[in-house]
Amino acid sequence: MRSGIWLLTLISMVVSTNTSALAQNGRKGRGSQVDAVKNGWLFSLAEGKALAAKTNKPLMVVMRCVP
Amino acid sequence: MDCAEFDGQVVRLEKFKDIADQFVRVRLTRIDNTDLNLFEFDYDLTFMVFFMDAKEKVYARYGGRDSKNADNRQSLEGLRYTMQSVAAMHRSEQKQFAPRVEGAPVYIRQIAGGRGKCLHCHQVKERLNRKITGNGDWTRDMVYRYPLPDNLGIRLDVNRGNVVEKVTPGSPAEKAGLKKGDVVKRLGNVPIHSFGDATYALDKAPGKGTLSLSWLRDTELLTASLDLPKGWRKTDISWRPSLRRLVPSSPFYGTDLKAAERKQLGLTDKQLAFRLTSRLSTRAKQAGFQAGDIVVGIDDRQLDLTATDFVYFVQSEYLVGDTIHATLLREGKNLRLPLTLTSR
Repeated sequence: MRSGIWLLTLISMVVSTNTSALAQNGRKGRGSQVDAVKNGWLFSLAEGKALAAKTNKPLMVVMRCVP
Repeated sequence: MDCAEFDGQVVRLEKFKDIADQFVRVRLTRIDNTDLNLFEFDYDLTFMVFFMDAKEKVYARYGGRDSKNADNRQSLEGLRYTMQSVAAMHRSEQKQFAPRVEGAPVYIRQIAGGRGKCLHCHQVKERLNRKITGNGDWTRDMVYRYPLPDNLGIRLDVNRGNVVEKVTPGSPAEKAGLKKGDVVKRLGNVPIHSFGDATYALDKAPGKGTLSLSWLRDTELLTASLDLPKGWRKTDISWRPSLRRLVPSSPFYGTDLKAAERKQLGLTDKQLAFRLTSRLSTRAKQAGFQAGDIVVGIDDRQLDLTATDFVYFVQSEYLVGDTIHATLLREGKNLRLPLTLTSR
């Protein structure tokens, strides 16, 4: 019983680590958080609007539905 | 390439790195935390770009698709073209913005209830549709949101979003005077920079009547009224996740007649003519269809389709609950049988 619980815990840790890694890095060719940061994307509209007002640049907002 | 791959290329600024810094770039990935008054778009899509100023006045949209595939109407070249067009508008003294719903931000949980959990975009549309249906305001035209400009005879260049690639002969666009190479500037009260702007403008257009259109030919600005004939909004919805329950399945399948048999029956080589197999659905049997019947028309229309095309035809032309009338040949006699369509 106890070893079963340990096994379940281990499996859930592996799954969550992989899911998190995928979310951060994305699949090959796809948009990832790392790429987005590297290429100057912001993740807050409020922050974007403040910067747009300061620099007098237009905003380019990508709405990417990734639930 | 799929939509996710296109998104990846956009994230990496592929093919527009040199002009990317003319914009403050923001990436949002949660629709449940998004102001739907500001980010109003076709929620069956998973990708849409909004161009706006710091005060949330929207210049343009980029994105959209048709039933063929997710990337048929978007390209990095096309996105670059729209960015250049928006950058020029932002520098201009006479800025033009798309109309938008004004007022305080509105979130999906406020409109249609539910907890503020993570949602797919199409689930937002499903919730909005349920709300409309619940209020008794649902009409058939509401199925056909964000209609294609092609419905009015305008095919836009995928790499130059507001440039006309082709005008369909005999269409409302041709009658209005539009020609290949013209640059569409405005549809109704929406400035057009892209295919996404065009579908947004058409979404706001009435189900029947006219819509103002202006375009640039060389240096001359021309205007006209586009006729909107009854049923113009009708577009293939089979790709839309929010409307899956409305897409009918084909009521029957069969094999195309061979040339010799067509000749014998006085049918052309291309017209719809297929023999029903013995794998008939219960509802088709109950409606009187029999294995061996030859289907030669639907709703008194003679169609140039194969048996395979017929399946897609039913899905794109009709909705669940519609009753079709099939014209059949059975033992040398003509029959006309009704059948109500059901979901997949």
